Amino acid sequence: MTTNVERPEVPLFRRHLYWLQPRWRDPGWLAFALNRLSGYILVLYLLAHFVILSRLTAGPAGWDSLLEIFGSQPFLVGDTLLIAAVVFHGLNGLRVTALTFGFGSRHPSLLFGVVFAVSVVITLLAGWAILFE
Amino acid sequence: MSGPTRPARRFLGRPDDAYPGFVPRAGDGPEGARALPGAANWAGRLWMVQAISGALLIVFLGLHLVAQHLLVPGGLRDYAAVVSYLRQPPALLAELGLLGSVIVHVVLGIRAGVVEMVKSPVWLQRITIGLWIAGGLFFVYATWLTAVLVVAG
Repeated sequence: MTTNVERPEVPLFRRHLYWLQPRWRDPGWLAFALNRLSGYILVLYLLAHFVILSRLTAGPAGWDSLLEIFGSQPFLVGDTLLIAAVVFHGLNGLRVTALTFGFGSRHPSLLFGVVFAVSVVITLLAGWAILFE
Repeated sequence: MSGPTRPARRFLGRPDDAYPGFVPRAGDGPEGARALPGAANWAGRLWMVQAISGALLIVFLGLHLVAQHLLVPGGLRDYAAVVSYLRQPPALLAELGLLGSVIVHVVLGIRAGVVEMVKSPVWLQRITIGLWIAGGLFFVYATWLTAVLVVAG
């Protein structure tokens, strides 16, 4: 039986922040919030990426001087966090797609746990390779 | 259940009897109620485009990261290495594929957030058109940048 749930009348932008509210009875809320958060981070990175790549038009003098900055320690830490966002967003996307087709829907928490654990492992490996190799 | 004057019952999210793979279609509920008539045929299937572009992104972004950071000693390409890399046709194809799939994925991802913010279907359509225009401009910009590097670099 489908229940009748009315859309609550709330201000425009506060409605968007619903995804921050923990819905403990739904194992997917953390996955959804992290997915959207990492998605926004990746969009911001993509915009910065496009802007910075415009320095390539200035030729070798414009570009090669930037490489030293991007090879510095703070940027490498940022790269590691970026890898975390990319890997989690990608693996979670695979999880959502699998759920859409009915795979893993019997154990949703287990599936999310696998996604999270694999993301952490890949991020640690990538961070180790980026920072210490 | 109720009198004839009561509006039709609508669900928020998945109905209880949803089968695996169920996607709310236009007209089924609040999701569909927000779609304009002309959008009814495709708006409910955008998740599929998002999934396909996401799968392409895993491939293209994997190639991009390997090519830009693992195949280069030091992990970053200098200007000459960027230009010589882009002058290889397979690399150029992979980078343009990455560009196209990332723009489609980002536009649809932002639109999914906008759907939760905007109440009026007219504004949803306006913002969606604006997002596609912005995505197209980014595509033109990045293609122009690539062409400059390949031709003049």
